[in-house]
Amino acid sequence: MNTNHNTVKPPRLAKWLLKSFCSYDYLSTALWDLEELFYHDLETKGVTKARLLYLQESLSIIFHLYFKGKSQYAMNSIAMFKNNLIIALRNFRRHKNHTTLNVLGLSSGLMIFLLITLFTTYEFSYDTHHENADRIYRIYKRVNTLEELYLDSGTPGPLAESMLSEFPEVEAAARFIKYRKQLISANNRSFVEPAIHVADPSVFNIFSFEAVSGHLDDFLKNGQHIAISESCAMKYFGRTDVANETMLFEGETPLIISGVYKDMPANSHFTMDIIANFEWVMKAYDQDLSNWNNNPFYTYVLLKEDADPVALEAKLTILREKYANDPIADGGQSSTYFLQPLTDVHFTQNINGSMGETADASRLYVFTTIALIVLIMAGINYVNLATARAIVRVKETGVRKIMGAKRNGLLSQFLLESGLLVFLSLLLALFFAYLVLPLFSFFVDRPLSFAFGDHMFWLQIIGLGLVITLLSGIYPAIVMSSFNPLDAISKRSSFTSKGHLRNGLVVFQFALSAILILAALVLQRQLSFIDTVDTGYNRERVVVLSMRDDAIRKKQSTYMQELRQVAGVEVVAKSWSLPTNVTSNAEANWPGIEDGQRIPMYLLGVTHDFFDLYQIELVEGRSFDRKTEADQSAIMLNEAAVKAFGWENPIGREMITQTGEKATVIGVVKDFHLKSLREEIKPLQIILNPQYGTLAVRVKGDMATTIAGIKEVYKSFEPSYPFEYRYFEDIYDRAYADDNKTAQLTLVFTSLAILIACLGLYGLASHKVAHRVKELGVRKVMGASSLNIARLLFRDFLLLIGIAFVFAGPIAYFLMNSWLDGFAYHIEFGASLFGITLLILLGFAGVTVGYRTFKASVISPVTALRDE
Amino acid sequence: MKKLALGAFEELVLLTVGVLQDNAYGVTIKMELETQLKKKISLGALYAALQRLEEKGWVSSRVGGITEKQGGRRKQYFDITKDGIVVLNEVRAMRNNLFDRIPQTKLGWLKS
Repeated sequence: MNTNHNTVKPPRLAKWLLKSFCSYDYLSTALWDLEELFYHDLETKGVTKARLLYLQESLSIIFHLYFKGKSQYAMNSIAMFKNNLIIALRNFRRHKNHTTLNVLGLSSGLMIFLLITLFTTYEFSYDTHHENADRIYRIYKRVNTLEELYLDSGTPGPLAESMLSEFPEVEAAARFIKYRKQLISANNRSFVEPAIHVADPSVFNIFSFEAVSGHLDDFLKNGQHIAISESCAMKYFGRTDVANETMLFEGETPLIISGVYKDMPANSHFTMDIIANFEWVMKAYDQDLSNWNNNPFYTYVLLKEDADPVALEAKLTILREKYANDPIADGGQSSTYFLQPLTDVHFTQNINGSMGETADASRLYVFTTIALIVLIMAGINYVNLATARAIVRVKETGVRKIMGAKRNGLLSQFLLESGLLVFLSLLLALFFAYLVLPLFSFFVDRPLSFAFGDHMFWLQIIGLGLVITLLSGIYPAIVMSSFNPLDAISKRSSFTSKGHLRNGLVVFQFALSAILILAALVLQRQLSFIDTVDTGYNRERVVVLSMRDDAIRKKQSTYMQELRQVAGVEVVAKSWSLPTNVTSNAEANWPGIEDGQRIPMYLLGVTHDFFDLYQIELVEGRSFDRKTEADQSAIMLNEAAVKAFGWENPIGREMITQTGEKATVIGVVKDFHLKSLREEIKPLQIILNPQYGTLAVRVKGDMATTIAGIKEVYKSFEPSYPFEYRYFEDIYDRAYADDNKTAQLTLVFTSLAILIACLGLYGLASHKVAHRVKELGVRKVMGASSLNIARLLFRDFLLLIGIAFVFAGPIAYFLMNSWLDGFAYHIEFGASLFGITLLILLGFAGVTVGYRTFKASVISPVTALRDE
Repeated sequence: MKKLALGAFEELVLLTVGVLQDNAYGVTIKMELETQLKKKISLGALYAALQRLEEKGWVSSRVGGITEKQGGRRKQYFDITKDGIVVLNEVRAMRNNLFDRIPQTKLGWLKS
């Protein structure tokens, strides 16, 4: 028990606080009592609680000494601090409007900033939890085929081993693959597992796993072993010590659990719930692991600490020459390999076949920029309002100076005031951010949370508060403390603010708002364009059915035939892929073709009713016909292909298909979008091929009953997978989900930015009015109408907005055009957008300033003038 | 001169200091009060009250148990003074006096 006294010490922070804020004779008393209490608590309540109580008590002592007791014990600077605090609070209370404006503006800016920073730090934290994250690399390849050049994360089976034996700087290498959904049962519970991974045992050496039961080294040691995550163990067994239990795969293969590991955090680009032994599974499925042209696997390597990844990457080219026996002529050796740092994987969107959701880093930078802009605008508000208030407080400062206040003292007084306001806003912002966080994390689809229990978090918050206090408080403090005391208290104050800076800041704010409004408008318009544009196919009432189940796959033509009998089903057809994302490539070829004409094309295999299903229009010729046997070797083209070939009369021309057979062109379809609107419509050839693909039906009857009917048919095939379907419209929309979210977030930001700008404007207008209240009174007495006065006040602000718009227009035009250029099909950046933006700005500014000036202009001149 | 007032919390502290006799210092006073009042008392509030009581001359303090370490801790004992006893007595007398003037019928509630 007594050993505690030596090992556990009271919190140093609290001691430091006491030492800095308590005068000497009180300090020693407090320290004694606190220490005695601390060790008492230590034994009864535990370390954490005792430390917490110590801190709490110390704070209460400081608080009571300075604010409740007499301050005779305080040092002078402390007394001033207390005095300043009281003055500041009094000031806040006296100018409630002013304080509310400031706090409202600052806290909404801060709230956005907090949320966005939370989101972006989460995104940038992807995969950083692995201890060796900086030494782990993913291998990807560049494929250099005749048609195109692309990057792909798929690598061949022998790559990992050959890297290990060839390069001493590679410490470990592992292959894995995300296997298809499997039906798994254990402990009388069955689930379809979406993410089963098959991996080399070395994954446990490369990535950081933590064993919950069993030993990491033994995981996957034998072929029939699997390792599962903690949550997976809980799901099946309700406990985690399940080593040596058995799980049944697909109802036939029993596998033994060799260990359980802690769940991988959600910010990993892959999360493994069930890991099976790579070699064993691959053998069981007859996968050729020595073939360099079989590329479905991911390869990750861990480099030694002193390894140079750049040098290693350069050496990777020798691998295929040395190990692979595939001459270039056979399409081999066309791939070159590269290393990619693990932490970059999440942000890489141009490498095909990556696991997990990728994020567009530039989008995150855009968000961060916008959050910063909103924060800056809120800060500007503070600077503006505070300097405007300086004029009113000029007398206070004067008196203080005459009584002997030093410049530094005044500076710290005003800074303290800013600090109080900033921290108050910060707390409010945190509170509101906390309230909207569930909504926000649902929206960005990430499990976000504030680390309230982490003291680093609070240090960061305090740091943020201090930075904002300094940035926004220093200028007003300098202005206010710089008044000449004589000028300051003389009745006719010679101090008049020209307000160039303030006007400049308002211009800046409105320019930023204008840019945001323009951006939001362009985003909205482009997205509604995407939604309404004629893609060439009809997305409505098309239901895409899952073909995962073997029972269905084996009897697919019967399945399709029976689906056609279901009431409400209009058309049933299959195609290699949905028309939204055609992926297969081919090359134009016909007898007597010249080399320059061998252009790359897309290739799509379909069944007979494909064109009816998606309602793709026929331009020339006819579509595939069931009765015509010859259609098995017929080809259809899209308009883009005909145009690219330069053919006058395409129908009846001969082409050579990818498999080298002759085929006749029987029809031409109207161009439809093969990819997202970002890409141009490329030449396409369509052939009759029912082999693979996506099954979809067009529903004409009631959606719910028809789908129920389809489900009945599905069930009759006794499948092991549950019935799954998706609406084609949803799939289409998902392709633009990122853009949609960007648009919605921008809209929110923009609204907040406008709100903040208007708050600032309102505050500024109030001050203009307050400053000129006598002038306005005199004008009224002399016969000016309310309207005259309103116009007089309004004119200044109109000019500011005009200037702001002149700056903002070109910047927004440049920014948004570069975004639009990413779409092959996009709206035009017309003058109407600028018009609408200007109207919105004027509208909001008009309401804000107008309201304030109206209030000023109807005021009775008697009230305005009677003060003197 | 204005008559010094004894606040409700001060009165409790003063009583406790009297009760604890020679062993009245921060921690013991706090603990005694907490057991009596059945609620948390912060050291800060206690110090503030003791400070006021000392200024009014109702408690005196003496130092005991200084440790050798520099900037070290110090045990500060409090004793109730004669004036302190007097003021406590006055307050009690006044209370009793007032209480006794509450009609008997109302006091009857205490029995049920």
